[in-house]
Amino acid sequence: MNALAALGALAYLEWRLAVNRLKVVLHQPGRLVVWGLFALWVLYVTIGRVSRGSYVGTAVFALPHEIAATALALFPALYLALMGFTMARSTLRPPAAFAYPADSRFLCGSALPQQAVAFWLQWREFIGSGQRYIFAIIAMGVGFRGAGASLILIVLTVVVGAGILQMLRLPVFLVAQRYPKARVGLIGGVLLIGGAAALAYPIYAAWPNEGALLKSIPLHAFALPPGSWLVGTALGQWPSMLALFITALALAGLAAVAAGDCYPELWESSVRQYAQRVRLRSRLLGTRAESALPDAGAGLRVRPVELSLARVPAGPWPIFWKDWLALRRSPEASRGAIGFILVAIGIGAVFGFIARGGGTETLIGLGVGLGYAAVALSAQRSVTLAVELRKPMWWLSSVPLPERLATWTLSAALRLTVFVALGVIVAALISGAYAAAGLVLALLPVFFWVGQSVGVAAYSIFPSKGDLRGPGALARMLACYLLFLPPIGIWVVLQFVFGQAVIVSALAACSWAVLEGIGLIWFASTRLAGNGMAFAWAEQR
Amino acid sequence: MNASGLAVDNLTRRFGKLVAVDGLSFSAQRGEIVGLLGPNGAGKTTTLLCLAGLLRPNAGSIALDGRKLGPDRARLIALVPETPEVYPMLTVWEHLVFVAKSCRLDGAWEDRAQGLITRLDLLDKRDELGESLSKGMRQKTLIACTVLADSPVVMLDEPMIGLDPKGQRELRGILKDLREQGRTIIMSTHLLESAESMCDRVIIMKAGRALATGPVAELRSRGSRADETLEDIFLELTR
Repeated sequence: MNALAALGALAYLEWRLAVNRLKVVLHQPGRLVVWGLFALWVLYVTIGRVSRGSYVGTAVFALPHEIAATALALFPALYLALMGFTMARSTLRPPAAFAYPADSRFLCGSALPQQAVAFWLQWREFIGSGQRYIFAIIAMGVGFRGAGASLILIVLTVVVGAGILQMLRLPVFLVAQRYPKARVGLIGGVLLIGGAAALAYPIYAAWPNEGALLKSIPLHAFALPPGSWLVGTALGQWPSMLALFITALALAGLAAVAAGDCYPELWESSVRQYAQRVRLRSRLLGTRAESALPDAGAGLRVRPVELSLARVPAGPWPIFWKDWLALRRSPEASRGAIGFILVAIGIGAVFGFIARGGGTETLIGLGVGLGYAAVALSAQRSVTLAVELRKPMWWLSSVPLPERLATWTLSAALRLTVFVALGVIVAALISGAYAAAGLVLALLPVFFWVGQSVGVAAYSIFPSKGDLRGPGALARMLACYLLFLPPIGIWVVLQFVFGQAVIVSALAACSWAVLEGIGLIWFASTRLAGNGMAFAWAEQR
Repeated sequence: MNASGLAVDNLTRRFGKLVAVDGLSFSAQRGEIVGLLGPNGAGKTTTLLCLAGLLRPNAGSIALDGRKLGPDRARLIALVPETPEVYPMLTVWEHLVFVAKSCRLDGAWEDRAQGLITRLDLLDKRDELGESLSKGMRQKTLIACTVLADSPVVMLDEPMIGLDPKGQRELRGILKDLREQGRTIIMSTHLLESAESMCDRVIIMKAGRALATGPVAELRSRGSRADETLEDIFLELTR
């Protein structure tokens, strides 16, 4: 089969998947209205940003100039380190390139050349992630100030930058598999160390100049490609754009050329990812998808854990116990947790340095930016209850549904809290802002409790994964903002009008926020009760 | 090595320390239905996945009609997996169209596809999306797609599970038709009665190895009693 006919067949597959997805929405008036409103909002925001050069959210906050300049200066080194890490990791494990379990039957079992399929998988992933980034920056990036031509350039930079990292994985794996002597993993390791050193050196060199740390860092930074090309593209430099375009094309071409015999590894990796997702969602207590895996074929391992059943808590609390077991039993989950801890420490350290070197304006900008990022993160976080709702065990419990749902929500909120709290502690240790950090640490669990409760309530309205990512995410963000207003109001009134102590005001505000969360959980419970399987099915849409 | 049909030699697949398939050798001729039997964890599914090109064996070779197979074996050896995964947002008919396009089938494929979905009782589900199909319907869709793809070797992992009695009867009929057309069929199953009635030969596996291979009558003749059923032989060998 020639490449053109193969791409034609693959285009037919994608086209029909997209058309049918649209048809499903069109046949459900409720979803049609929601998506229609969402589309209008996205259109309004996009046109406003690109043509008028302004947007209602632009006044919310702006990154202080010195932070932006420092971030741009350090970005090439960070990108090089990320590339190195991606390369080193890709030699060990291929990307989970198949998006659907059915791909194993319909793509692997077809007469389509593997090269064409590999090329297609690359672009499918690139386009999919590109859409998400564009949406995140233009539609969800309320606090993002870019507009007009600069916005288009920034979107292009982010999409291509993230796309290159993604597209790097498959060719690197294939080249490492075919040509072991090329030592691609070693090259990745060298790039990682080089990038990390290039990231650390400017901070080290600027350290003695503590009063103007942020201003000094760019003076010592390195402009390393391809990160420097990305910065150039964001600034509208044509040579950088050309270099990036050639890099992206070369990677796609390399994947296609190297993909001679790659299905088994791609399939194994994809199956492992499906199983991991299911397992992490189900907290490891066995699922249909997991039991369907060929023996140990998915490569998932379960670490033996000694159990003391006498310690299993009563009531709804076994949900916590189950999550704890999952973390201990699954090496993948443990590795994931370690990864999150390292990322949290890294981000905390960066923010600590920025807070240490910046003035009041920097600190306020940083605080608002972090708050916005936390709301956005909370709104984008997936809520998948299908695995629980499908289980007879979930419905057999004698504990009332609102209690179980509240415990499930609390568990999810605390998991996020632990990682963010670590970052905050590291930032506090570096910057010395202990009082502010203490306050943030006290507020974090409440913040994520409300965010996760909004997610559960949104799930009971938009159970479909697609809906929850689109209009659901927007509704969650707006709901978060609205729900944070009363506690903030209570705080302000108590502290500044009635002159109460910070602790009293904070406690009153937090209590109100907790009650808001309980109300949302109760609302979700009334919708889910007696109709759980319908939600589980709808989630797959 | 058998020149006509599938020949598997010393197939080995490990997962870390676990040897799922341990030097398995067998052959399946054209126009033959071979049953792969064994207790849970015997390595049946892993064997099928290796043959279908979805798992890379650690050792061994797979040949079809005397030609050693490489990366193209996924096209030549079709598998209907135990978990019938279809595209949730593709209709039954669109699955068949995609198979026709991706396997470059000739112009007569539409009539054959229509015949298959009629036979498998899928006609009224023709325009239903994969996500709304029951497990049995998804199984039937995959069977229709696999038969339509015209692969010389067809493998089915627990094909009867999830099918209604009519579907099971139709599948038996389809497999017999494929056998008459000279296709090689390998079927993994726990339904020993079904294997006894349909398979020309069976391979009883345990711990990744073949414990016994041959026609059921021949296995019976090796046993201690003449009236032994396949179930008796199976339980005796795998205990």
